[in-house]
Amino acid sequence: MSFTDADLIARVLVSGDQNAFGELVRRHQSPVRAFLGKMTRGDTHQADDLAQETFLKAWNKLASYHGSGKFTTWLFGIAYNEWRMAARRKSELLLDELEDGFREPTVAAAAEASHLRLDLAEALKTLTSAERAAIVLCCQNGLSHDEAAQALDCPLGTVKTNVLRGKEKLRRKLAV
Amino acid sequence: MNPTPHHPPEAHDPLDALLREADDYVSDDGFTQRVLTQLPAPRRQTTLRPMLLSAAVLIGATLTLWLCPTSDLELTLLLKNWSAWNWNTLLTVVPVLAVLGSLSWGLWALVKDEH
Repeated sequence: MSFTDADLIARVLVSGDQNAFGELVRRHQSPVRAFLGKMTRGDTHQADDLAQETFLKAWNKLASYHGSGKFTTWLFGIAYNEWRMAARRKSELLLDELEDGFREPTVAAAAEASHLRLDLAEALKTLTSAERAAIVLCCQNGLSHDEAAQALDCPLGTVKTNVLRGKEKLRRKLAV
Repeated sequence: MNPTPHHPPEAHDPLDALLREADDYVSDDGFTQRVLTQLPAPRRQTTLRPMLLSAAVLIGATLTLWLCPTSDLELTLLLKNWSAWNWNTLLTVVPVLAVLGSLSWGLWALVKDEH
């Protein structure tokens, strides 16, 4: 018999059942680690550290999960926050803006990138962090724009814009 | 009328297909175990609380019976002659019952905590 996420969460909340929490981690570790892997531009060590922090935070804050949205959305929210804090420490957000400026300067550069047919993972790295997060959550993890806005703690319109803009850039990079 | 598909314009978008099909599964490889070992130890309720509670109740019971105006009355006698109870009797019986109840609750909490 398999338990739903809600059953497992209830067991953790009622009796502090670590096995139930372990099952939740097993179920959700892959999307969370993959998401953080993309946010850290492929730095798997940092992504795993952040994922670990994410689940530890989830354990501590589980009582604040009210079950109104999907558990995954709530986890992505924590994961994004963890990444944001780490990025702030590394001033990556600032670099991001600069890199974005450097990467979009000429049509020739974009055309060259298209010819190179960067694979998807590489192309994703060239997006800004906000675009990357929106694309990964909405297009790869199946979150609705509303859910992504909730996880990323930003307005719905921003998510929609970032998805559109990110896709546009990916199309150019991948020539699809 | 046909229902509107969830993402009609993107249904045949090759980029969407590419994003959806990207195999991003990350195998566990001991990750879950690492997280579990980092969890704070389950909060074990200390046995001190029910023990302190029981001790407090015992002290309270002793003091109540000692200071009670009718403490020389025998409880069995009182229970037999319940029709002759007056305010003084009640002042003895009610605290005694309350004390007994609190004691049982304290002991029950102690046993439950041990389990």
